[in-house]
Amino acid sequence: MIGTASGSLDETLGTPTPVGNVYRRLLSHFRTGDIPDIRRSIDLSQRLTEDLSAAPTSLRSSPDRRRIPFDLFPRVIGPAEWIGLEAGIRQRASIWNHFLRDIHDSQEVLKAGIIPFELVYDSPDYLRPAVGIKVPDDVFCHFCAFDLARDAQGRWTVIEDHVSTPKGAVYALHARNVINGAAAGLMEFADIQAHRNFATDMLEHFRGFSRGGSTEPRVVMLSSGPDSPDYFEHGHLARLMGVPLVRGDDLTVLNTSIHLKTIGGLEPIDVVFRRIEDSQLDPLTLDPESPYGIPALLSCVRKRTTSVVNAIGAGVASNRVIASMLNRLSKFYLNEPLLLPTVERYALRDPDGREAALSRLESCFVAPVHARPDESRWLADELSDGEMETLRRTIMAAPSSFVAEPLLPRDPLPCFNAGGLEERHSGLRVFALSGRKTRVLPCALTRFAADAKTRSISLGRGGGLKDTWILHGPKESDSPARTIIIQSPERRLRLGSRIADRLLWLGRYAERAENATRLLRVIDQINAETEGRQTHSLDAFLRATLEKTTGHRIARPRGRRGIDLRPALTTLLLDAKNPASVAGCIRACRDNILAIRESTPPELWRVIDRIHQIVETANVGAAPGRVAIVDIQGLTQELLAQFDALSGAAGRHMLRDDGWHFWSLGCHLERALVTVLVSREAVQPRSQNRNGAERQVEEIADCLLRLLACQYAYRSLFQSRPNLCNVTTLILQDGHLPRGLRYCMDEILSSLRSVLAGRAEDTASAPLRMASKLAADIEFTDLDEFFPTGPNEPDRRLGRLADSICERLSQLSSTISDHYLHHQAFNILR
Amino acid sequence: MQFLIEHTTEYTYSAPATEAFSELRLRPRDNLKQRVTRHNTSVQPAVVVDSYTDYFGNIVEAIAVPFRHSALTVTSLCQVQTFELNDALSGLDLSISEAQAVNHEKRRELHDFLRPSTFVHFDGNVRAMARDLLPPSANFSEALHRLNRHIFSKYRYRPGSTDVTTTVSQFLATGEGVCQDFTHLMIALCRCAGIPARYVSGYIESDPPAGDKQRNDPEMIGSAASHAWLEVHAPNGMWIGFDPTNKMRESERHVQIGIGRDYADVPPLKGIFKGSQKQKLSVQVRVVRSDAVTPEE
Repeated sequence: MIGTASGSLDETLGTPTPVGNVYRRLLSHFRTGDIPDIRRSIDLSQRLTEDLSAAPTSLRSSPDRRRIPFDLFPRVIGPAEWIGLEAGIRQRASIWNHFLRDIHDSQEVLKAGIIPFELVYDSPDYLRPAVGIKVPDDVFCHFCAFDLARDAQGRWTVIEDHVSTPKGAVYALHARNVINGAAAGLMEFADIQAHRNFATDMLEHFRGFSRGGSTEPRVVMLSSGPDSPDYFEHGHLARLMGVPLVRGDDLTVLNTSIHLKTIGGLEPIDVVFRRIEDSQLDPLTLDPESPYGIPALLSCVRKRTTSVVNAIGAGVASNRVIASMLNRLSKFYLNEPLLLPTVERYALRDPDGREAALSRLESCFVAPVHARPDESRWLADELSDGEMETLRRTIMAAPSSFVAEPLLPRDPLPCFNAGGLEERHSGLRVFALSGRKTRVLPCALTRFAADAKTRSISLGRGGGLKDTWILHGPKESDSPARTIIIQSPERRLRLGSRIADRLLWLGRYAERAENATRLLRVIDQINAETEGRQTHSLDAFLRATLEKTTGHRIARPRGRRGIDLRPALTTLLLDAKNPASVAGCIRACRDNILAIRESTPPELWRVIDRIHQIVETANVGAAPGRVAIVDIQGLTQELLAQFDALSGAAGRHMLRDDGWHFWSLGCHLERALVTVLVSREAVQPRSQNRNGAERQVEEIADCLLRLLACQYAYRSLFQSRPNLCNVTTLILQDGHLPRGLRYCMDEILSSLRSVLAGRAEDTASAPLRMASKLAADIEFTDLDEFFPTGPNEPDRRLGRLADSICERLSQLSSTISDHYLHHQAFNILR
Repeated sequence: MQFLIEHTTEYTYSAPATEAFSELRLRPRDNLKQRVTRHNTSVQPAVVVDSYTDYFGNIVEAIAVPFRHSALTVTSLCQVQTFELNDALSGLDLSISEAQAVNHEKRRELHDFLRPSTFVHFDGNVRAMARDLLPPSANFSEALHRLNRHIFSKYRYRPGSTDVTTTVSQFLATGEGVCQDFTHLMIALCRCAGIPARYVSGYIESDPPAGDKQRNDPEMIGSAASHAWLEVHAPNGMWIGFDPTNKMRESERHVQIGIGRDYADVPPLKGIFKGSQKQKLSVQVRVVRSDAVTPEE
């Protein structure tokens, strides 16, 4: 089944090197192995990669989720080659650190004229406010990555330096996970260096740069959130490191020190691992337009209360012209020759370079001088004549903004394709943790081109992913895992307020959607049973219930009774523009979970997304601004099953931590409110015919049980026809009924107790005190008193009691928000 | 001369702000021309005031208010002694191109003040004017004095006609502006002609310039003493102050706060407010000779 291979692959396979041996073993496995088994591995690897493909922002921007091809055939790097690469990368990281330190200090390199000062002074990445700020250990570039390719002589050269916010590590880790999951057997063919604690090593490395006195520094990862195309990577890496993923707004500055807003108050932060560009870090001092940064961050760094990794200002090294002069910097700072050369590169600002590049532009790679995540680059050999012309014009309009590199020969790697081996252009990215000493991580990223003709390996543009195996030397084995500091509980960061807020509303909207669905379903059933001719009082009860719980006015033709409620029900189900509708609540749910996907289990997201799709699908074909005509019973049944799946997924997969408690608070607050609202409408005295008044109240009591899904509970407890006194007692005071008020209050109390844990301030316990009082008042009210003349004849005071409970629940909700979510520092100077 | 300067800035919000961050460049620098004898900045609500020296040597004060508040008031009070300086341009008899040649030695240090910057662009008009008004063969000191007078007489001072985001090109198009625009224009022309020039923000003891008499914008009352001018780098290594808005050289009545490439480097106040929809800014500046006044404390 395996096709032909040619050129360098044949050479590799023919040689008795460690790499050749591994390739031969792999190849023979695929030739002789069990074919269905191999197919299964390929399919599985593809499925595992889909987790990645589904993750990026395409969720928000476009519905077509791009697929990242995964290739089981790994890239193998031999021990001798790796040792050479390691030395080169260590040196390179050290040069960049020297350079960045110098530029932010006395600028000797510019004074000595080693590189033209214009390159720095005219750079948009040269941040004057960062000059003069001393950083711990003089390290600017704590985490860096280098893209490598082989030149015509087969030597490794660096084609790109990532010294500011390097990306891609998560994909490298994931590639190994895919192999582990889909074809772990393959790894027996080689002695591979393990990735081991990549993320925790990173965390410990960063902690080493904290300047606070704490022995257990606290680290957060700063990201631009779902707006970033790399949000998935940020979330994943933060989870692996076990640090909170935060946005600028989650942090604030108190006494010239960065603090995280948590449900436990403002918590000081020692190290900010930033994943956003330099200029966006501090809108006060740097770019005022940046919505992602932390105002006054720079002041904190200057005051040495907080460290930023990579340091603010590292971006000035994202300069392709300076990178091409690294040999001079190496001589200047280390007095050593550069071990890993930079690819040959023309600076188009120089007339000579420009002339040389333009004369052979069709075989060049063209890129901006200042590297940017969203930059345009051109592989001139893949351009049409028209595109070439445009490129020339673009260059000539601002030659000093571009560099051109003569294309290197393709670096082909064997890849599976349609059952055969095929050579594809590929690239290697190697990561390093740099400080006083630099550690090159045995976790490298290999990407390959989508087809044999193209050179582009970017994952966003069709490029694929494969694992990179770095082989152990003859006697070397993985260095033992390093000791991991276990943080003492009091140094653990509490949940961020923004996330808690989102979780609370996620819970509320999920519960609200479920309640609305059930109400609509039951009302539709009753409507159908009575064929729209329900008694006046029942009709009034149902309408009032709908109106009170959704805030949606139900039109009622004059002079007619018992009209068809279906149009109103369908609108309340599907009209997403109406925030009280089921569709509206589900949309709100989805928005909330999208904003905190990194802190919620993926299972939860999957169910919510599915519910969202069900509603969307049901409404397909509706005229703009209208809703589709649907089978209400069928749709609500399907939705209710999914809501059960949602609470199941939450119960099964969410950690019982603070996050859980806020989700639970949201669910139970909402449920308590709906329960009381509906009960309140049921006990509202309505004008009734004397004849059959009793029967009508019983009808309402029965209906109330159905609306709250408590019929069975009632029967098993009372074994009688429903009377209003018993029904309200069950719903408001029974501690075992999950939809009952008392049960909800118990849950709220227990969550509030857990969340309060350890907070000393008096004020922090206000929500708990408020909830306890309400729960006690509910528990010790004698409901019989409200039925002085008979169990189906409530007096008006019961309605007022229900109103006051509603009022107190709303107050409780805003008190919880004030105390845990909308966090405010207390004015400590007073 | 001795001045007592009181600069009060007040932000009031449409709704209470939950967080506010501000950077102030209000504190005069110490240099050959002036000495700060007393300085105090106070903030209401009370928070820590951090200060540091920025890239251009200006003193910056930074405050963070991470709690709910409905107004923010910063009062900066200082006492400054200014000195009369010898005319650094007298006896400097050389042409603009000769001056350029002398400055070449320090081109790295002077680079920032020769390049376009946020508000100072070299458009076609600026280039043509620079060729015309500052030809390479002209006498360095005479040409600069002439340019200073030219800008004063050709453009109209009209408060409110421009704002802090106005660029040189926009000023040239309308022909009217405030001290900041006059200064930016002269900086642009100097830089275009290869003469390093930098922006100076500060105070001036003066009656409001002519044309400013009828100002009726209540928000701006009292801020007339906030001023801007420029300095050019002379071949003798001195920075020489010109004030094209007032057709004069920098004098004993000028008090420097900060220098930079243009206004963007030395705004008196930068602020970021969260939680509030709108904020209203009012500024009060009082510059009085304190030779006669006894300090209150």
